Amino acid sequence: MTHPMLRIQPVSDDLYEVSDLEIRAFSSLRIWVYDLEATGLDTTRERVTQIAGLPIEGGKILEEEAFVQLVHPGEGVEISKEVEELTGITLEKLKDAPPFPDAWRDCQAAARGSAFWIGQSVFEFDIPLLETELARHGLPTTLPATLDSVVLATALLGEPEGRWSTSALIQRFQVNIEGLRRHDALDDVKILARILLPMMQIIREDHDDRVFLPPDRPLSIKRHPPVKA
Amino acid sequence: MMKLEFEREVAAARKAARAAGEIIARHCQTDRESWDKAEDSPVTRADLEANEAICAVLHESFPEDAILSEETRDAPGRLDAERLWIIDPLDGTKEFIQGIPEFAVSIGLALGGEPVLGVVYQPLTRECYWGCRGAGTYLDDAPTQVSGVGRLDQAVVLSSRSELSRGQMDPYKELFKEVRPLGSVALKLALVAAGRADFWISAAPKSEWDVCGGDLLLREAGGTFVTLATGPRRYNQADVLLQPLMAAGPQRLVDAFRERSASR
Repeated sequence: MTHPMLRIQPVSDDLYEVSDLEIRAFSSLRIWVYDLEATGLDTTRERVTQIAGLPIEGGKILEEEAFVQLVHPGEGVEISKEVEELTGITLEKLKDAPPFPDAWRDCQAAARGSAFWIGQSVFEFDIPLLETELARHGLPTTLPATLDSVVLATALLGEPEGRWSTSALIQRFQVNIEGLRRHDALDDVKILARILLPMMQIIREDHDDRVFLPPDRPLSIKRHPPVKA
Repeated sequence: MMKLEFEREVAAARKAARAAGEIIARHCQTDRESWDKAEDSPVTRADLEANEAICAVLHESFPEDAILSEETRDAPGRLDAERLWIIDPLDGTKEFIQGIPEFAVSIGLALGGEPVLGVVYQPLTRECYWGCRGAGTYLDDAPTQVSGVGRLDQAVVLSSRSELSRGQMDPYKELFKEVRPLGSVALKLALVAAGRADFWISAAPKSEWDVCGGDLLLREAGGTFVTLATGPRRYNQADVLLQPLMAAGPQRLVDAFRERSASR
């Protein structure tokens, strides 16, 4: 599930549209920023290998309440060399990690009390991947209300030349990422949280602290570029 | 804003809902360990403490009024009361337990069985939907109206997760543009009253405390709430259960749904 009051409409292989969302008092809310790492990018068959999240509340990043957990992907699951190099996560590191259901339960518990969740490219990757994992383990596929920071960035900053990737947002807001490692779930969450703070300032100062996507004027979002086979 | 017929009651109900909401939000963030205890779990404590907070505010302001609450033992004396507060301190318990932020505090006031005030408060977004007879419905300070959508096949409908998963919505799903699952009956009714969704239907029994506050919000937002068999609810009945089917939203959608559902 995405945010229950948000409508998503696929348009083409390159675009989807979102509409019909209103979040008020945005910067005062407790928001759970999250990220997943996985064995690959195919959300229909890959496995989650790491889950991380932390809350932002009242415009402050609460790093002391951060959650991070490696996840055992299941017996017989492989991780390619490319993915190992990208994430730094090897099967050896995962051998004593809990299975997905335990890690997911703990993440939900850590996120409890948040008005909604937010993540980067979650509508295209994290949410379908989570739904696959939940279904695989016979768990209810009910997910918390979730927003995609790509959608939020497009709503606030307009359509970029490419798409509002993490790199583009880091550059746009001159976010300091020193000491943080991309594609480590917790560090990615910290980076996104630092990106969200100036976005929240824009929402507060220029949009009356409200995010509003009208039902009749959908916002076009460029999809993530196709993954090379 | 115009002078409200129930100004004191609105102020007390909003204050009570906020107080309950703070308690609920605090319990919501409790450590996971305590969620595993069957007894004295945060959900039980949140429900009971929120109920106490609401009853304390209402009793202080209106000591003569009767109260019907999901969390208080029903007192038969309420059937003779002219004024009855109808309360669900935590509607959407399943979502609360799962950490899904779709739960709400619901407070209604019925006068001679007719709803005259409604407050639905969402603790985590801190949004307050409220209204009273003759004054309209508001989301915080902004007036709201039900949706202008006039056809079922253009309507976004809110429904309960459990009714969807049990297949109770299957006979009706194809009538609508989209059916969205959402927790808390009171919250769903408030969202429809605010025009944030077009319509609500339910195929499972509900209690007066689930719907009284939302019913008033719908009436004052230009919509209606009905059980299809008996029409609008007269509250403060001995049997607090309302029987399905139920629908809420703009009158023309309710009429169209009544007609279409009769043939199913």
